[in-house]
Amino acid sequence: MKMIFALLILTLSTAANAYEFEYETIVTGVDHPTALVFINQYTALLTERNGGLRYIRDGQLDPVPISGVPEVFVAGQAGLFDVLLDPEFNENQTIYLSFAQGSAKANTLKIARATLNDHELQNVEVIFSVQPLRDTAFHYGGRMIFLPDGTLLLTSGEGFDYRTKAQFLDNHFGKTLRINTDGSVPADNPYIDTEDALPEIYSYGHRNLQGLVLGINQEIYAHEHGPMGGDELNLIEPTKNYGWPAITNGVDYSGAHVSPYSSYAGMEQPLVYWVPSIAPGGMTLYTGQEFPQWQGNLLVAALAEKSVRRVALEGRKIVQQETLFTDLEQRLRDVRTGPDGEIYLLTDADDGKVIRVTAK
Amino acid sequence: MKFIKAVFAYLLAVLTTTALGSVAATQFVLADLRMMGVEVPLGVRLETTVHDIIGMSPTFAPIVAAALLVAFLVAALLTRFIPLPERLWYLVGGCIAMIAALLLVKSVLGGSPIAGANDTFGLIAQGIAGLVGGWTFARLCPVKESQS
Repeated sequence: MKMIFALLILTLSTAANAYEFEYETIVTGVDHPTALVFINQYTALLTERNGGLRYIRDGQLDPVPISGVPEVFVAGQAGLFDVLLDPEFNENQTIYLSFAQGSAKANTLKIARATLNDHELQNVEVIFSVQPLRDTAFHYGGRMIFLPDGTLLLTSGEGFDYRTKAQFLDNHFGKTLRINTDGSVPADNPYIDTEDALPEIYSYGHRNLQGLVLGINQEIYAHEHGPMGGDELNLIEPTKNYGWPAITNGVDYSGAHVSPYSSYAGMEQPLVYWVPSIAPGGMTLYTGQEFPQWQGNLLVAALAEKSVRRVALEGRKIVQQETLFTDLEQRLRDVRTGPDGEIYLLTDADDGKVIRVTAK
Repeated sequence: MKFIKAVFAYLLAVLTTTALGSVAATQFVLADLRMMGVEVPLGVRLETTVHDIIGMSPTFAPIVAAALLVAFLVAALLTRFIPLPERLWYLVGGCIAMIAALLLVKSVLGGSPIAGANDTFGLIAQGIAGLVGGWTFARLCPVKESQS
């Protein structure tokens, strides 16, 4: 038995150290980069928290920003959060931006749709606004993906001071939200016929979700920041209640309980939780060829831990977890997979960087 | 001797307000949980209350200490110029100082530092904790008999 255990440890540690990495900083001097998406093999779009939308072409930052980005409220954690390509982008050049808009006293998370025409956004239209407005500049969420049926899923944070709202369906705080590309509500949304529930709601009981991806089998993964401890990775399913703030594995910043419970009937448990907090800021499903042993793994960018967590799943079970790239000593807002399977890291700093990671 | 008495009274006032403020904040958080349909039996309530007094003290007590120090200094000053019972100044001072301190920290941080004091009633409860702290101080501190 001891022998088997020792062999298992050896196997795991060998797998965990399978690669050596080469880092290449391809972009510097961008303001808190928040998201990166590849348009094609050579060109990517990069968002900056201060509202900047930039091209990266052939591994270099285009000095000319893209104009026409809607006015963005920039304060605290508020800013431009994510950029998403329409599934038919090659035909319609349509993109979606998520961002905060408004004032310190009254602002909210919005989604705009626009047509990308070289260095200009045209036909810019706000298609969705989170309700109600807030007077804080924290916990927006703001990540977007397309579901296989062509609807758009958005994460919406609970606004920090409004955490109780995450448990109630009469508002958008602390939810995942499913909408059509014109902002309308899909006819088969789970709460469309529920009285007093907002029809965009897909799941609830969330805190601040900054990672959202589709898995290999089209399942939905999202991660969210906990308070002090209790960051979570969840498998998102419609109508499920993920518990915040009724259950949590973290405590409040004041040292008080958010709740005395870490589990409760009718509330979902995370696939994994992190205590102390790693502060997950973004996520990618790795399907590239550069690191073949990581096929199907989730890579989670961590701000506080200054790392990427590689999470290998079998069904709902975490079979392996590895902490990567800590030698960079950078707060990482997002991690994305490039067209050739290389990994891109976005550093959270005034002088933000984009770092390309390949195998040595 | 008077000074030592005053320091002792101040420390006890800080202790009282910290404990009461923490207990109050916990009850507001637990009330929110009940509103969400989560049951909170008495044992859980007591355990959570004790946990929070211990857990919150390192961050909450310094805020209380700063607030009450300012409050009592200002009260001592005002009592020389405005002929109202000295004890009343400390009560009112403790109350206003707690509310003001939490609002100040909230405006600096951009969010409420104590979740249980996030709404109006929660904040008033913290004011009452400050008032009791003021009363504690006035009781123990050498207040002039003529004005008490």
